[in-house]
Amino acid sequence: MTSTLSPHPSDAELLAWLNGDNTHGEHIAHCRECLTRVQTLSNEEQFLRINLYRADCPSAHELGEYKLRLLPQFQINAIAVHVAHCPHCSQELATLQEFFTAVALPAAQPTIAKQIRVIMATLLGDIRAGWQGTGGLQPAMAAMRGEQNKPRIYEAEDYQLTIEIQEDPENPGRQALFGLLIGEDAPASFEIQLWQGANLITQAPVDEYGNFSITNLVKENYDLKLIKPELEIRLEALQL
Amino acid sequence: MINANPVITPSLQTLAQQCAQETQRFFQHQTGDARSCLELFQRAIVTKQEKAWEAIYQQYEPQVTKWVLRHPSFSATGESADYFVNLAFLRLWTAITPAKFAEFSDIREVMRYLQLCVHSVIIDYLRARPSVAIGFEDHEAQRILAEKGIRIDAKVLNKVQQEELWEIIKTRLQNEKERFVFDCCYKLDMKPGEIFQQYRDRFKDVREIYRIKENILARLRRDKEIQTFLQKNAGKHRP
Repeated sequence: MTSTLSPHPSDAELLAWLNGDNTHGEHIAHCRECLTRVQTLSNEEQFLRINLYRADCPSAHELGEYKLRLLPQFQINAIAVHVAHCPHCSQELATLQEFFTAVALPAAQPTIAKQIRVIMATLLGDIRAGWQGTGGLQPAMAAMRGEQNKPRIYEAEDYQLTIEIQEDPENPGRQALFGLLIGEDAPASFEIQLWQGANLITQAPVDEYGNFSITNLVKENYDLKLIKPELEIRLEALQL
Repeated sequence: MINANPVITPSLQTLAQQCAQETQRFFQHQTGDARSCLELFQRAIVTKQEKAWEAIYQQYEPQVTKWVLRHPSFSATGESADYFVNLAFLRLWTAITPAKFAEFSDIREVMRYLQLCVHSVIIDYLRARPSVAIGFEDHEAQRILAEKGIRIDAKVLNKVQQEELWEIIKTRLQNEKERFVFDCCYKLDMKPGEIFQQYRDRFKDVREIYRIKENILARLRRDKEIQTFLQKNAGKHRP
């Protein structure tokens, strides 16, 4: 039966209907032709999704070795870029952290030195080649997001820090800083601080998965410090 | 002549007994000194002694079972703990090379790696379930398609075929925007609404994302090489 209610929706509109947009729902529900097209589109979408889902993601074990920093540096860099964009891998890393916390091992043997150690974070080089080298998600993402708000990845000895600056949606004209700290068994022992010269501007906790965020920031330069007892990771002249 | 200082290599049995004591002390937070355990791992990993692997399995199986049960995603698998315990040891066996083992300085690091093996086999199991990657949200379209008896299904290709498919498709995507939408929709399983929400500054509106999807699907549907590939590998399914 062909509907006489309205013209046939486009494939784009049928795809929208499949995702819950009911603008053309009345027509589609009563139009055999449209339902046939919907079936074709659904099969096509499902075929692609089921066969390419997470095709660019590193394996769960590689992600874990990345967290434990057991991979070669080039691989660590590539996975860091991937993780910055991939919600699934970020989630798996969070699950791994949760697991490590739940099955915490006895602490490493204490050392005698108890002084606060300061390590400087340095920006990693051009690492947009992306996971798996031959393209995949990252190059497209990097180009789409532009240089300005592309996540920046820093390294400080065994730690890796991903920083992303965005416009703060809740405070027009202000900036929001999002970050992820990798390489620490208990990231929640850290606190993030932003300094300008000798002035502490703001501070925030780091959660148990290593995430942190600070919003409502003026677009200026800051010194970022991640601090826990005995250790300070410092990132100087961070430009928002 | 009798050697006054013979090198004594402890038997596997002795090592296993000492390792049991060291492990107990380690988990009771008494000491991190576990030289016998490291030696046991050394024999298993570096010199590939099967009996050493057996001793390791026997020594750590109860601990690994506890870890499996405490994994945040274990309950979602519906499998028995034993299943993952065996897989975790198998993963350790295949993943840990002599070079990697050489980087471990104490038993804590070896145990951490074994925990990683527990995690990765559970996550691999969940990743492999096709239901994770598909499914409608609970909405009207699902109800109507079910009412009309319209079935949505798709053949799962093997890994090599999947890679081959992607090699073809990626050459058909015409610009960065198409590549981006394709990646988000099919590799990350994001809905256009979610993409627009997250990358609002990149698209005029959500309809633009749907139009890009429409164009991609239409192009793939018309593509002779892709159709030939699908006829060969996926029966009647397409694009």
